[in-house]
Amino acid sequence: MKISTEKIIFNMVSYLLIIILSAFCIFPLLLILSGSFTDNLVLTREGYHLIPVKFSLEAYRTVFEYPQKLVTAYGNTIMVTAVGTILGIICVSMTGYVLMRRDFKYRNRVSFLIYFTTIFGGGMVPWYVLLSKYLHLTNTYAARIFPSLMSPFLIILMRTFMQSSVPEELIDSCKVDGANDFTIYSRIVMPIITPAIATVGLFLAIGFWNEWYLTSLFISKKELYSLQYFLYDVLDNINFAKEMAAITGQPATNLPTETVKMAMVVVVIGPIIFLYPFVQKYFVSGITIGAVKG
Amino acid sequence: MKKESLKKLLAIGLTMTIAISSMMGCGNTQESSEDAGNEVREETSEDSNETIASENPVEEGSSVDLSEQVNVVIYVTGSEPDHFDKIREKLNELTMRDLNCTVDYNFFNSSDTQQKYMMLLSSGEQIDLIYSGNWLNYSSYAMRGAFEPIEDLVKEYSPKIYDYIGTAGWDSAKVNGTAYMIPCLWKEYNLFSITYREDLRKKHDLPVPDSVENIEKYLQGIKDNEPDIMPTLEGVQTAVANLGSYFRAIEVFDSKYNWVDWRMPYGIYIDYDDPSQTYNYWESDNFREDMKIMKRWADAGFWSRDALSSDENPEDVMLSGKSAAQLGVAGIGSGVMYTDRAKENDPNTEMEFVSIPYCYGKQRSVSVAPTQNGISVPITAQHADRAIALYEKILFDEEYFNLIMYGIEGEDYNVVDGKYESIPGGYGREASRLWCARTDEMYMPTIADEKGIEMKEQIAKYEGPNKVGGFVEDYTPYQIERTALMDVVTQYLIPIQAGMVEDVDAAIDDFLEKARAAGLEKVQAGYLEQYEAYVESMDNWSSWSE
Amino acid sequence: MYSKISKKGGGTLSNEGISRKKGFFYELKRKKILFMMLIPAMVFFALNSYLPMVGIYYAFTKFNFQGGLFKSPFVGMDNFRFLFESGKLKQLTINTVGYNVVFILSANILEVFFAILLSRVVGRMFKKVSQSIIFLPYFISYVVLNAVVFAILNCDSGYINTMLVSLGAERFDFYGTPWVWRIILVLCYLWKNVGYGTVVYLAAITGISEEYYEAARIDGANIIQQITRITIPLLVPTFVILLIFAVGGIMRGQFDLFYQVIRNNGVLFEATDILDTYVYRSLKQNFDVGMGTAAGLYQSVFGLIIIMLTNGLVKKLNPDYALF
Repeated sequence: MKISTEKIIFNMVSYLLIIILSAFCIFPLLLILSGSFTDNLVLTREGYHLIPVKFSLEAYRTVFEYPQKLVTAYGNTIMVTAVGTILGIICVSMTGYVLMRRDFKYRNRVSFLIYFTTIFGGGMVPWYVLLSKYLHLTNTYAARIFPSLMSPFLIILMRTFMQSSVPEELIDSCKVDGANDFTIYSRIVMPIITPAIATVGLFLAIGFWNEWYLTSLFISKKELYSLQYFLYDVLDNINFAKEMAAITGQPATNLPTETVKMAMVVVVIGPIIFLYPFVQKYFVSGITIGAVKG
Repeated sequence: MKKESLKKLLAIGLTMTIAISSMMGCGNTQESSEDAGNEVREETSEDSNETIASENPVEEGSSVDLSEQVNVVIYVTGSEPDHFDKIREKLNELTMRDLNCTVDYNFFNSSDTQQKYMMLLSSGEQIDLIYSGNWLNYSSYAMRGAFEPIEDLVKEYSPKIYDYIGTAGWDSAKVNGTAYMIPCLWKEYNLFSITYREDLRKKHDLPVPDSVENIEKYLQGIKDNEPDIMPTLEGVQTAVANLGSYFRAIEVFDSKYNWVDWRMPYGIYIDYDDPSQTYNYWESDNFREDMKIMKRWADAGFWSRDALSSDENPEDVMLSGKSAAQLGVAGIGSGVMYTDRAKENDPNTEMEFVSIPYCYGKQRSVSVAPTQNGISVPITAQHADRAIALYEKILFDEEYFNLIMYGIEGEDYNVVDGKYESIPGGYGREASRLWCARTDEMYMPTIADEKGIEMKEQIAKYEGPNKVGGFVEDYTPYQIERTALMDVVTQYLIPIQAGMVEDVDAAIDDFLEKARAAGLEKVQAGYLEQYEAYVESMDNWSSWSE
Repeated sequence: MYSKISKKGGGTLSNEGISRKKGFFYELKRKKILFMMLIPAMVFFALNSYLPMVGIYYAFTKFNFQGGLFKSPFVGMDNFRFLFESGKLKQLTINTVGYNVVFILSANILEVFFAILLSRVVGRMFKKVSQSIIFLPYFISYVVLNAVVFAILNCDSGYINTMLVSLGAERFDFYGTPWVWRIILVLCYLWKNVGYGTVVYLAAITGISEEYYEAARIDGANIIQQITRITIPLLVPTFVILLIFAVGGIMRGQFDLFYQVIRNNGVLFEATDILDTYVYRSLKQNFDVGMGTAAGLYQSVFGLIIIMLTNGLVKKLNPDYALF
């Protein structure tokens, strides 16, 4: 009985706090959502409201003006995200696994070498030259995948997760049974660390999904544009049309800019809202990992 | 432990050495990739391996050897417009027919254009033609050796362009005596106008805002009578010429002084009638007076307290009826467009604009410098000859020009009485971003442009020579100080311009103190030294004083 | 937990002596597969990070295009002058480090706190929805956030000022008051990043064996005790990792946050200017590779010193948590 009152109080307080945080997080998002459905000039005059002051689909019409291109951008972004995430998970987990192995003599040195890259960098120019001129990644999907395949943060995070959920004895006993290092990784370690894979996979996927910077550097062919960059490009073309109108005095129809920015957010976030709950089930407490222990 | 870290260092050292040696390799190829058709190169010729493009026999007139099929790579700034694929395809058909080459026409677009430009030029990729211009720091790139000296290349491969640009044109593009750009000779007036609400002005019987006093009266009238309307929307404008950025409202002072251009950097005032007369505006009482006016306006609530952080689109704000004026609208067309769009948007509002700064107030207009837009041949070009031949086609051959500038007739635009009329949903006008290729002979005004054309004609009547258009600053001797100064300007000067300071005099003293600490004096002295040398050299130039 | 387990993999003592002598190649042969599994990472970091590191040399040259990286004139420390002689370096360093410290601490505390709450609260639906909501802001760029912040805070029609006026209070001039931005920027940062960090901690909590709690419950521990004695100690390794990564970049500010939200508002700079925004402003008009690299190098060296100190400290407290 005592435990359950305690539980009730704990849950009530938790609910309250989580609701406060959620409200803090969602309020701006609702403004953005409503903004995207507001008439551009009305938005400029009246500002952001939770409910559109004057409903308009203008922004979405602009974003969807060339549905085929948008579909292409969506399509190749999904492709890049899928390929990149899978490759990324393999690379990150493999590296994390090696660095986790206590019998690997150079693990600290390699960890340091990996970590070191977050502190020191040679800057953009030599990196760009290497990738574009020597690796010929310009206008290839590889340019959008390769540079974000791994990150020191994710590798070390993976290593830490593995250290805390894969017992040393387990690896030793497998070795006694004659399994080689790769088999231990693929058959024993990977299945245990699903929450870690879900986390790392999620972060990788978000990185690829949001990617626009690499596109801006390496991609000049429109059909290879990432979703984010495609939308950025739509906005840029509107601004250009406005500028041209300013220079030549052509009548430009009322092209929305502010609301398009907001609609872009919605278009980008939309699919992710569906992805997240899918990944989420791996974080829901109760998966017994320790069970393999011993 | 110590041994361990030593090993770490060694390991790093080793990787670095490998890396360095491989980059060394890159340095060499970069040099050898320069095209060999050019004899002017002095600094680099000693170690450039003679490779690639076969020596072309030089004949009289155009001497481009078309025997080999090549690919010409062009880069321009901006994002790729819609429907560009078909333009590219058509262009390639034309070039295959006439020049035996294909064209790889690329756009570079990035949130950080300057950085991308830098990377493109330093990457060593083949680029045969690249858009260049003052606003992309043409002179600085030229001085750092990014471009080929172009005058002799053009003389050899396109005498037609060479003659068209003429001595004065080439002179204007010269940086330390050498031209690195084919400048644009098409006259463009980058006029600033003041847009205001004519309906409200009539309603409250306010003066037309055509001078500093009248602007103040107009804005005050709006403030007093229209509590829901912000008198004007102002904000921080970024500009290349003015050390990065300035507060837009200070455009109004342009009509007050007889200076060459208020956008001169470092607070130096150059007298228009006698450009050898210069003085220090920032240190003058005039500057203090002007900034006090700004303070008064800000205090009166003419613009928002948030103006410095505002990211609002001034055009939209004014059209939405939230503000009643904009003090610095760039471009002749803007004013026209405002008036039209305002009517379209709400028939009861009426907007007008005055383009006083040059035209009415001072009775003078100056066209932008020819180096505002241009095209250059980077040192990584492989087919400069073909590229220049192509550029000649674009400049002088209607088929090329119309295709690149306007698209395909009947699909993207119609010609009505010799004027351009866009077809909605088609390829945008001048969306190729090759503004530098405009010429008087080829340029087609738009059908909606009547007022604009009329204005341009009127403006042209007041035209005076652009006396500093040919001056190119070499800030390398004081680059560090200049860099520090740019920061000081943003932090201390812009709030003064926006009237967001408690005490103008104290703020100016503080600003000047910070600016001096950053090296203002060295920058000004360095700038003036070069400028005076320029003035002296210009004495010999015939068109100097008209 | 496992620090007590003897390092079996390292082999016996005598074996270790041999391996030290035989060194790298002996190890390579013995752990062929592990080495092979490292190949992707080695290639990745070599290409993406180590090869381009030669570019650090740019910091000491006056770049020109013909000379490129190695043949441009050497100018020593000249490119650093715009930092050291600006007279602002101290202020910028304090701001950058200060903001980062506040970001790291406040974000981690909130993340751990909410990760624990989310892991324990009942109601699957509630859990899922709230998690999704706090994660979403991570997708919003600061450019868009700027528009929202402006909508909330602006003087004329902002939410807060409209509210103040309707309550009969004075308007508050947010965009003219530097100090409030120290708070607002932290809130913006938390808004965007707390969801991300919470996921990391949530995953770590999910990895904790149920057995521990079972045992604790048998011993009569209440929820708070379970959290403070089991969950939090077991989150320490994750926290240390996050900390070490954050500390290494302590001289690198959240450029987008500061630049997009503050923009060119010089009035606020004393409270909001960090090294990254200063460098950007100074170089935006004419991007100079030399000076840009010099600024980056300063950040790197500063970060390296701090991280060495932090890692040393962690090692002293618990060698198992140290990164290297």
